[in-house]
Amino acid sequence: MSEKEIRLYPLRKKIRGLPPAFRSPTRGIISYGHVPRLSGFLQRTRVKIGLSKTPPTAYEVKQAVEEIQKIVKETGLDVKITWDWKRKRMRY
Amino acid sequence: MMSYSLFLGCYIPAMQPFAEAALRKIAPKLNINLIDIVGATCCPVPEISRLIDYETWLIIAARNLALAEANKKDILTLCNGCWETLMEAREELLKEPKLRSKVNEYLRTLNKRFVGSIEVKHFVQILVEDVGLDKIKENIKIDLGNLRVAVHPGCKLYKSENERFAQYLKDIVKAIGVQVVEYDIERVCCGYPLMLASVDKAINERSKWKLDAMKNNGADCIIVVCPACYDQFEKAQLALKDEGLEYNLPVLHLSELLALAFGLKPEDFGLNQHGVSCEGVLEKLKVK
Repeated sequence: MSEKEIRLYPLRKKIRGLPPAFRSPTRGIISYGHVPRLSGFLQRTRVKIGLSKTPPTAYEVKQAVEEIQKIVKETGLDVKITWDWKRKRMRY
Repeated sequence: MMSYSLFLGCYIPAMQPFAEAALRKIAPKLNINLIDIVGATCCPVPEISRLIDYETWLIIAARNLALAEANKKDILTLCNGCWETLMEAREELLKEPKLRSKVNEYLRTLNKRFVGSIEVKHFVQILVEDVGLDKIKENIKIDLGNLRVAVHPGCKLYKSENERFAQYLKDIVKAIGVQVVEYDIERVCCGYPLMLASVDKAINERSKWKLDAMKNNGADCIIVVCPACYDQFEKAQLALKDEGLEYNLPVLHLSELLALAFGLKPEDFGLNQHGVSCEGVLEKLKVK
């Protein structure tokens, strides 16, 4: 809320989003179960050095991501951080 | 053969796969059998998740622990952050029965349950306490006596009992015949968590302070056991290069140093793909 809005609506509940540096890692965990995305470049690098393209973690297992999203809904973290499930980002 | 559940976390597979490749290739030589934890997620990252919402942090950590428990093998992790989260979450859940019941209520909806039947072990702990330094020495194929390394344990290793894991890292590096450079500020953080507050302070004050000390004391490279420290030291060097400061201090995970010592070719585990070139290290060791 801006200073002007606070003066106009002093009783309105203040919504404070996450600090900027916390947004991207949080978005990553909710969207794909991990902080960074596994880029195409890194997937090719993994294959070059004898690893599987993606490890058998949430990077590969969709059910794992669904389970994280279920936890986030049940603990109410989505409401706390104003997570927009449709747009897959925080509203504030 | 000793078996472990391999907890990769996020940064190892997505940013430092070289450490993962090196580990998977040296593991059989150390009598280590690695079992993947299928469906594991972010540990989740302690500096962020625990501060935002303690309960969610704990449930996600408990879910990862429950998956590893299904493998019936202790966890091996190559990352200080993953070790901290999983170890501390496990301790808290075992210490607080009410909390454990509450977390298991959440996990029940996912058909999972945390029991606490396995331990969370850091790579350095396994190397010293389970594998043994003698077994490591048996596998050394290359003389590393020419190499001068700055050891950076990372602040979380100092959370181990009597700070012993930080000492383990030094013991391992010394055991494989590398010269360890003393640079006085070993226990100072690399600057990675500070990036969340100020990129400028993290790089130009914290990381630069450490890089200066390492370079001035004659280090050829930095040895870490955490992908966040790896990322920070590489990122800082690339950023400082734009300001005309060139350090040329390659950053290697301990698993990569061991792979080199065991005679693996650098390209076999991606040592030739680092952001800060490792050519100087290879030249010094006369490895092609």
